[in-house]
Amino acid sequence: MMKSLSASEREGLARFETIQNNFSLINRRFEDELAQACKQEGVSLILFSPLGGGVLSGKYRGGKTPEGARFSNYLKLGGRQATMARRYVNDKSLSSTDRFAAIAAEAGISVLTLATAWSKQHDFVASTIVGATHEDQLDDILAAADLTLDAEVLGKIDVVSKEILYPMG
Amino acid sequence: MGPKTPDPAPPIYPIDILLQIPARELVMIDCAAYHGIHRRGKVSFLGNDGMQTKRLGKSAVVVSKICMGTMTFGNQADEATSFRILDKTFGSRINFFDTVENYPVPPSEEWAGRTEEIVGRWIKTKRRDAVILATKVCGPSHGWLKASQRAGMTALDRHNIVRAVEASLKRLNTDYVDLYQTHWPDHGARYEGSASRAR
Repeated sequence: MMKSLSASEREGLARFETIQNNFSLINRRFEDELAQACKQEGVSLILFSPLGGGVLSGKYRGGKTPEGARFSNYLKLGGRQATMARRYVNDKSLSSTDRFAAIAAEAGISVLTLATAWSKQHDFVASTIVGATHEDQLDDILAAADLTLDAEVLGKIDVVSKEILYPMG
Repeated sequence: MGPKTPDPAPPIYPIDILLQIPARELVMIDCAAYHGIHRRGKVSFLGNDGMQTKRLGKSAVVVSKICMGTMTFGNQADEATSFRILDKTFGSRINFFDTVENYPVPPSEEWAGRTEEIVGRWIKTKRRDAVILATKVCGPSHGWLKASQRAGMTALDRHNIVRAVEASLKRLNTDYVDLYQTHWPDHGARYEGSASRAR
């Protein structure tokens, strides 16, 4: 990214204004290095999978593979798709999910609202890409549109992230 | 709001550059400001009062802080469901929609492009100016990462980008996109070389 930005500047070309990466409560890798580069260069993150591919909803808890869910389908397909599903659905991601669900319950909001609001609350993030297979799934997500999490909730989240590092590897 | 007078056709979409392009910034170089001031000079905050917005990088493009993704459209979500999802988000002060030339997921040659077609039919039901639309060109295939477009012979060069953007615009029923992205980068190619090849 840095090299591309340099090339654009040197040659007077348009540059990358945005980067689209995976970023969520169960995958905070972006904060390690890229976030700093983005802040410095004024490049915005448009993030995907704020709900960790739906894992944070808890629908895969206890080894469940609900009908019609993406990773249920991927596990059936096997191969590359199954590998991808296991990156999202694994012991660490499911334990984190339980802890985040408890934090959300204490705050009196859905864990989907918590995860979406959290993802929006970073200065390097421009927009959070949400997904759905049915319009009813949008209610808890849209509840995050005007929500700002307070420092206490953010602190509890950071504790979980430190105790269960990199659930998606 | 009075009857909508057709906008003059915007200049051809920019293809002289690679990467994530705030396309409208380039086609609107004679416009003093971007959203907030409409093309014809009227203040119009996209009809979505009070939405939380943010700028994309240092560009002039400003988007809602929630973006509706589309990868389920045409597979897990049928067209009617997709329209209900799009209408509900658009009605909830969200103006930003993201797709890719090869959606829906999982990628397949048979289904590639269906999602953009659904978005394209939906966008006709809205004022195009009120929607910030992002799509992407697939990067080069390698290993298991095989693009379902152009017989898998994708690359981030002029030939592929021109073909990708033309096909996307056709499926999306529009003559411009607001943000053009690479679905994944080409880690092997020199940026400098790519940029001058694309000129």
